[in-house]
Parts: sequence; structure tokens; C-alpha cells
Amino acid sequence: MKARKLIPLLSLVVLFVCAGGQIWAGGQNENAAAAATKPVTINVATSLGWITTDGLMPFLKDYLAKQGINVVAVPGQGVALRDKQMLAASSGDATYDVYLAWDALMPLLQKYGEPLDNYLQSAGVDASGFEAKFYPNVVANASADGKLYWIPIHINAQIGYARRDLFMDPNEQAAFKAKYGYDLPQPDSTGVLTFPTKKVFVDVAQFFTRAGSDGQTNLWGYVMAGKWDQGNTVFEEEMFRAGLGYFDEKGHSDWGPAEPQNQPIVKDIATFDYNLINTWKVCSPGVLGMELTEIGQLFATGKAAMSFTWNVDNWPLYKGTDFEKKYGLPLSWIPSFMDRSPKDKGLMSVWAWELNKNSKNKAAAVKFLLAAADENLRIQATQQAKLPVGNGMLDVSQWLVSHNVVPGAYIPAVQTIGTFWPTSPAFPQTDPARDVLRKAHEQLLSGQITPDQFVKQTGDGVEALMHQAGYF
Amino acid sequence: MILQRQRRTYWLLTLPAILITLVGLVWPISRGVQISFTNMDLLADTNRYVGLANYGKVLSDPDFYFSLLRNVEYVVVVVFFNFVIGFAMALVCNEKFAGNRVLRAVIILPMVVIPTAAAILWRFMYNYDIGVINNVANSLHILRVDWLGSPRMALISVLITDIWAWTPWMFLILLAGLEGLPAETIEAARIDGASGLRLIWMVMLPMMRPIYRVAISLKAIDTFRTFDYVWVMTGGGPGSSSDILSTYIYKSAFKNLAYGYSAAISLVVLVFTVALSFSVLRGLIVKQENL
Repeated sequence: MKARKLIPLLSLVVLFVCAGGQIWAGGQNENAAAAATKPVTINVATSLGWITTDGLMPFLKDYLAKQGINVVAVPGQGVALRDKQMLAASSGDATYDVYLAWDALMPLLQKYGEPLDNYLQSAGVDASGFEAKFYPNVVANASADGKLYWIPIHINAQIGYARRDLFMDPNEQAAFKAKYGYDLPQPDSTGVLTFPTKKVFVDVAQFFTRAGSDGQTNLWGYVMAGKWDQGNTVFEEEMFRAGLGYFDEKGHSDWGPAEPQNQPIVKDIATFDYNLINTWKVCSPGVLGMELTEIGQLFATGKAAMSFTWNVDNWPLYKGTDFEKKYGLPLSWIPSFMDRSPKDKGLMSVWAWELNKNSKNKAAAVKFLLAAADENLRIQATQQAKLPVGNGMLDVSQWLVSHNVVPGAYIPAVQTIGTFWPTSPAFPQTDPARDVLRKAHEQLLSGQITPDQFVKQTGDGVEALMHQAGYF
Repeated sequence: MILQRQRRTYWLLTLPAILITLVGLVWPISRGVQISFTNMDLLADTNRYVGLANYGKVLSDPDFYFSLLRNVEYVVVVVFFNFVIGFAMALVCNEKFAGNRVLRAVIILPMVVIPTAAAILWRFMYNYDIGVINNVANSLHILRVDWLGSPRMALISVLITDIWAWTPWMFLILLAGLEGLPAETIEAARIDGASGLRLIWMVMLPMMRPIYRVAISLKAIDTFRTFDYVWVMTGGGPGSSSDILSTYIYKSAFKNLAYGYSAAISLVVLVFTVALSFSVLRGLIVKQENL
């Protein structure tokens, strides 16, 4: 009786267990299926309100969503972007799967990233072929110890503009030849001017500096950004073109007490900058209160024959505007007359993304980085989101110039420029050293100190900074 | 029993305020104090206890004293002109005339402009070559002034902007004070022959003392912490000719990532500000009691 009662009960239990197992297994399978289709989420650092990352991200998100990757932008701005990433990186967490850095931050974040070479191989991408798509100096900036760490997304350069109407005017050309005995420099087919020597440049600037009927200058031969970081980068352009950096291999100032042989070179640059404003008076003294925006406006209002700063950004102010109708599309130039040898390079602004070595989603993050270096996607984003400059890829840069998105001098600039990293050893004190320079350069331009004092103040200042940091 | 319940209610009601104060004020300051005794530096990747070294460095740094001196000058000049211009405008608006309300609205306009936007606006107006101020000067055959590019003029230019922006605040407080003065006393003084400057100096100002003391004190403390106008217009330059304490601290902390040192400067400045506030408040209370 007991057994008769027990059998159905046991059967029920077995049935329940089996069914439960099935249900459980089914649940498991469903979960597995869900996991397979659930997109992998990666967090990418972006710069808040900056057209390059804001413009690129929607295209990259759409592109990667089709591959089951959900890209989340983690925006930050300026020092907050730097500090948030540095704190996350130094604590070894995976808040960011992909870091974002600019030239001065790249050496600091590099040790928290992972080289991409092996990942490229795993993805079936030929590493050398991939690198050959970029200008060699861009690859040099994106690499460390022969390995590719960074995918550049924004390669900017300082260039000069010149008023086309003045340079192409036959009367001006004749007057210049009569005064100086040689021809006024003329542009090539892409609108690029070349000044073979410093003297030619100064002659041209003096020639175009003109006073109005009230005796006050109403056309400056040349204006350059003089204020704050953008003023400092003018000096850096000249410094790099003279073959110098901030530091030598041991961390000494490149023209401090340990490197006195470089002091005459720096004095030469400082004297040139000082004379532009204070002696030759070809550059407005007001530039000490002006950054990129004001310099762009000064040129746009026809108050300057030539200008120099991060002028690529100012291109939309002139192209297709009233400026173009009135003065013609500006000619462009690079200050190669400051070069001391063919290998010397100007200053490059690099922004790039890097794979966090502690990322939990490395495969997806690498796919993101490869997509960021896709030429077609980049051109599509440039057309639709109006990205201002290229990413250092040859094809993209050629496309930008041929479609008039950037001025002609963008290509010679990108081909010949470098940055702090390979040009100057990657000491983390680059930013404080730049601050020493910035302060002294403003004092120099405003006549508070002489070129000799500038050399001593900056050389000793950077030396003291490095000594304090314990390098020697 | 009722008293106990009342006490419990009292604690319950004040607890959120205490918690907010602890989290929002005491914790950050104590963390700042802690950091100021370290060599925390994100560039050098250091973070160990260094005792009073940062404070020693602050007090032996000539740039700190230059910034402090400029800061004091800044406060004195801004508050003085805020008061003089604000009081003059308040006297005008205290009179009855057509358009008084419109004038008041126009006067307070600068105060409602966001400081950063105002600073950018003035930066463009000060432009040596294309700024509206020099253009007007040109048309009057006056030589152009290098407002922001000259080390002598840079801080003065910022001061003018700050005075423009915050005089309306002083105006509003002083106008409220003037409107609150007893009309009979003013009338009696007028009958006794007081008029013009004498009336202002001998009658109105003494009666308004508690009000303008508070206004000047609050403005002085607020101006001591100024950052936005200087930062946007000159960045402390040319060189460091317009650096004040706040820009100096900002550069140390965020440009050079020397957090330990910056925390020490910030705390020294905090001590200055607290001492200033206490002495002002103490003075006010004592004067109030003596009245």
C-alpha cells in the first residue's frame, strides 16, 4: 500500500526534477543566448564640447553597434579630463576602456596603455601596412619603443596666412622689387608661399606694415598669437624648428647651465620675436592680449598682411565668406625659414586614443580604435560633422586639401612637424616647463626682459624644475 | 517628556544641515589640510608626508607675495570705486524724476551678465587694433592704449571690468539703505541749512554706517576670491603682471599638478580670508552694540 502510494509520488518528484532541470537548462540557454546578443559596452574618453570627438563619436557608435559593440562616451574637459584619466589609470581601474590624450599628456598615459601591434595581427591587419597609411612623423608620435600605442584622431599644425590680394597685386609686386631688389614671394598651385630666409620674411612684413593718415598703423605686416598657451606655442614652433626641445636626454634644460652651446640659438629666436614687436615694429604690440580667436579676427578685418597661429582652425572664417570676396582666399605658409636643418620640425598638436591595459573589453576596444582609423569613416565624418583637421593619414590629408577643407600649407606642415614626445625626451614635467617659457615669452614680447635675460630665466627655470623633480 | 520630544525634533531637523556641512565643508577642508602636508604630485607620481615643507615653500615664494599684494590692491581699488560710484548712483536714483525706474534697471544690467561672458566681451572691447574702445579713441584722435598687452595696463583693465560688473550690487544695497533713512531727519537737517555734500557727509553717511559696513565687508571678501575676470581676460599675464592669488593657485594646481603645494597655498589664503571675515564681523558686532 505504502509502495503503491510512493511510486506516483516518486514519479512526480522525478518528473518535477526533470522538468525543473529542463526549465533551468532552458533558462540557462536563454541567458546564454541573451549574453551572446547583448552588446559589449566600452567606455571611451572624449573631450566635452570638442568638435573632433563630438563629431566622430556618432559615426563610430553606429558603425560598431552593427558589430554588437555599444560605445559610451565619457566626456571631460581640459585639466578635468586629464586628472580624471590619470587618477583612474594610476589606480589601475577600467573606468575607461579607451583613453584620450593630447601630445603633452600622451607620455604620462602611455604606461597605462597597451601596444596595438599584437591586436592588429590578431585582427588580420598588417601592422606595417597600417602604419604606412599615416605620415611617418605621425606614427613616430603615436609609438613608443617601436610599438604602436596610439590611434591619432586630430593632427593640427600652426601655419601662417597671407592676404592674396596684396601678394598678387602687380603694383605691390613692382613696389616690393623696386624697394628690396628681388621679387615678392609668390604662391605655388596650392596657394602655399615660401619664405627662403628670415630676412625675406622680415622684408615682406616691413613692406606691408602701413600707417593711416592719423599716423597710427592700420595694416600690420605680421601678427602672431602672443597670449597664454597659444603665444607660447609660437615660440615652441621656432624652438623645435631650431632643433631644440625642452630637455636633453638626462632631463637638463636644453639651454640651461648644462647645455650652454644651445644658448645662442635660443637667444637668436628670442631676439627675432622681440624685434618683430619692439624693434622692427611689424607686429602689433596688442598681440600680447590676443589668442587664436582675436588673431583670426584681426586678419579677417584686413588689419594684417600675414598672421601666424593655429590658423587651420580659422579657415572657415575666410573660405566662402565676405573675406574671400573682398581679399580672396588666403595664401598659406609655414615658418620653414626658422629651420636650422632639414630634419628640424615645427610643433604638432596630436590628439589620440589608447587602449587601457586594464580594460575588460579589449577586443571591442581594439575594434573601436581600428574604426577610428578607417579612412572612409573619417572622410564621411569630416563631410557631415565638419571635422576641422585630419588624423595624420595620407589619403585623408590629401582629400582635405583637394576639397578645400584645409589650406594648402596643411600638408607641408603635417609632413614636417613633430611634437614634444619624440623631439624632446618624454619627461612628465613638460607642462610646468612650458609654463616657465610662457611667462618669460610674454615678458620678452612686452619688453619687460631682454633676449639675454630670457635665455637665462628660462634655461635656469627649467633646470631648477627638473632638479627639484629629482632627475639630477 | 515634552522637552525631550522637542529636543529630538530639534536634532532631527538640524541633522541634514549638520550632515551637509560635514560632507560639503568639513570633509573637503580636512582633506585639503591632509594633502597640504604631503608632496602629492601627479606628474612626479609622489604622495608622501613632508611635514611643513609646503608651507615653508609658500612663505618663501616671492610670486606668492606679489600675488597677495596685487590681490590686496585689487580688493581696495574695486571696493573703493564700487562704493563711490554705487553711492553716487544711489543718490541720483533716490530722487524722484521721470524715468527713475528705467534708469535703475539699466544700472543693474551689468550685474546680471554671466562673469565669464562679461570678461570675454570686455576682452574683445579692449582689443588693441579692432576693439571698440580704441576705435572710439582713434576717432577722437587719442592714441590707442594697449589695454591687455601692456604689463602696466593689464590689471587696470581687469579692475575696470570688475568695477563695471559689481558696482550695481553696491548700488542696490546703498539705494535700499538710502530709501530706509527717516525722511523727517533728512528734512530737519535741510531746514537747519544742511544741503549737498554736507547733508550727505554729516547726516546720510553716519546713519547708513551699519549698511555700508556690511556691504563693503561682503564685497571685500567676495572680491578677494575673484578668479574669472582675471583668468579669462589676461590669464594672469603678460608674464605674471596680473596674477592674483586665485590664478596663482590655479596654475600651481592644475597646470603643474602640484596638489600638495597648491593645497598649502589654498589653506594659507583660507586663513587670510577667515581672519579678514572674522575681524570684519567682530568690528560690525562691536560697533552695533555700541550704537
